[in-house]
Amino acid sequence: MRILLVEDDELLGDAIKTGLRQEKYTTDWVQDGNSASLALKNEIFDLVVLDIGLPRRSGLEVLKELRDAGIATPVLILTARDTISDRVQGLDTGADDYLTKPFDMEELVARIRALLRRSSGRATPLLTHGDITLDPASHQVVRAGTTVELSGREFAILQVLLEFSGKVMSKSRLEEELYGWSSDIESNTVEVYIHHLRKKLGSDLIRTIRGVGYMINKE
Amino acid sequence: MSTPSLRNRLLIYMLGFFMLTWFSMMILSYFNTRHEIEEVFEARLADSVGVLFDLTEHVDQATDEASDHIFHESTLQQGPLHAYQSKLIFQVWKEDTLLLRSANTPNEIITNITGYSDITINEQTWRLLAHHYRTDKLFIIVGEQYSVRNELIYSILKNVFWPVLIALPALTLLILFGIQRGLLPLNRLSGEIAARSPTQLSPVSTDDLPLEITPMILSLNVLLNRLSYALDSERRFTADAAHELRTPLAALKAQAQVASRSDNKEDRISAIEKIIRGMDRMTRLVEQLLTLARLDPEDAVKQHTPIDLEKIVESVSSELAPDALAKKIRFELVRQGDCHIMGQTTALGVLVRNLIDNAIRYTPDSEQITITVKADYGQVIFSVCDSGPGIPDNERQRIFDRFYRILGSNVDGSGLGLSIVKRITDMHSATLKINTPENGKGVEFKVVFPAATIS
Repeated sequence: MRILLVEDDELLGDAIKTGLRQEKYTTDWVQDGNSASLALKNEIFDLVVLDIGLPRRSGLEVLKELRDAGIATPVLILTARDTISDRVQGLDTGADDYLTKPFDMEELVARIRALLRRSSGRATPLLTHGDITLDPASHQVVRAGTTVELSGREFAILQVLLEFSGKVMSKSRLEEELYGWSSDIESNTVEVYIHHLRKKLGSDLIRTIRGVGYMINKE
Repeated sequence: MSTPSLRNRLLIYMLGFFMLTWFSMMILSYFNTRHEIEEVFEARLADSVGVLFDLTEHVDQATDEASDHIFHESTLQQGPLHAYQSKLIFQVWKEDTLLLRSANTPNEIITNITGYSDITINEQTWRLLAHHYRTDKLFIIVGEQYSVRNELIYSILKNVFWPVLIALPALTLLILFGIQRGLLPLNRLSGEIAARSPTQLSPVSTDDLPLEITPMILSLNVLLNRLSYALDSERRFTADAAHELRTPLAALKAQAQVASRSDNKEDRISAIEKIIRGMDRMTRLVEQLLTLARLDPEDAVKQHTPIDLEKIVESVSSELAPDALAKKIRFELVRQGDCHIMGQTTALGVLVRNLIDNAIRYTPDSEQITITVKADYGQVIFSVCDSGPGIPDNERQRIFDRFYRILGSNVDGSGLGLSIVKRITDMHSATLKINTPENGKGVEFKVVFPAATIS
């Protein structure tokens, strides 16, 4: 899952990014409103963590622009402003959730999970497909009652494919989900992880759509 | 009397002055009356002497008898015909013979002194007038008791004194009533002020106020105005500060949680290092907040003293120079002329320190910082020129705002330093300019103070 983090404070942004990495999320971090708008215009994210007090362009402006463009990506507002009118304004502009600083990392991660779950139209926290169950909170995958050991990246690819089951995910989209903007992308890695997943979970789970990408059938 | 009352004071002063004037008038009347009465009585004594002389001469010529012309006591002892009727005594001597005397007068001569004199007979003091008629060899003495005239004086004064004494309570009540009426606008005013809530700091209306209270209310309004401004800025500042403290606190908490959840030693150490950095930053922020809070608006009115700015710049520079040397920065201090200005030492120290500290922070290693303090035609200029990244034109207006930080500067700052500098500059009626140095690199902060007038 790929998250865009918009936070101008150096230390806080760094902490959130590291915290989300610990949760196996791929996080891209920008520090001002203009860069956030630019990133949201050109790339696909599964969720945005957005600070309101940003240099150059306020978080609310970024949010309004995003919603005006018809993009429904879940947005969690992170801000030091906590008056009721501030919250109402944020939510009315199109935010899905609101968290005031200082906050608990646990809570931030839990809210992110809930937002991702809701955006994919699920009511339960678990992702299931046949006899496979993926728990985004505990990072566990269970197949027919037994736990399957997956690496962080294998888990991330499986989660995206399950989240978007019935849709073809291109190789580049999967790469973005895995690496964000970090430059150390190895070629053929997506193929390698798909291969590992097939070995661990059965070869008929993930279908290859040649020249387009991969998908898991919708049940 | 614990609380001085305007009413009581007015009452005391008015009654006091009234009594004083009245007493002085009484004393003056006493002396005047006494003098006039004495004149009248003395004149009457003289008349009596004249009448007696005429009478004696007449009797002499008529009877030509020189003996036993004693006035019968009966005529004089019938009692007075009027309360003020004089108690008179007289003796008429012809050479050594007593021709005439009043009944209550002894046979011996009562005085030898010609003219007016006093004598005591039977513990009563008498006023005597004696006259020697040389041609007829007559010596006539007429006396009158002092108590008569004293009684008259006393009676006159008593009649003046009592009515006033009786009128005094009535007068007090009237004065009190007058004062009460006169102070009515004050009561109205105090009612209006008492009815205010503590946050209602709008000026008090001066319409329909007496001339005497208006200056007081005008001063009060000035104070209210200042108070309201101070309260507003305090409120804004507290809100801003609380707000700004949240982000670094959130960062510390998030970093700490990252460290506690990390099973990777490297991540943990890195997070802890960041926590320490964050705490340094918060410490600085709190220090700057305190500095700013101490520069309350009232300080601006405090007495400024002549201060040698050069000395302050020199001492702060020598304190901060090691930081610059640690970054291998070429640090230069240029001084010129007499740099005395009117100001406050502590505040100026903070200003100089903030600007030099900023310059050191933003100047890359092995670059140059030039500090100038010089006198220039009635002005004293203090400038700090660094070789840092500079400040884009569109940000120059905003850098003095509290908590404003330039994006991507990668330098830890509270965002308060320059707003403190601005505040101190304003306090000293100085101007603050941001220039781009001639070589186009870095930024120059220039503070221009009015020079101290040397008396």
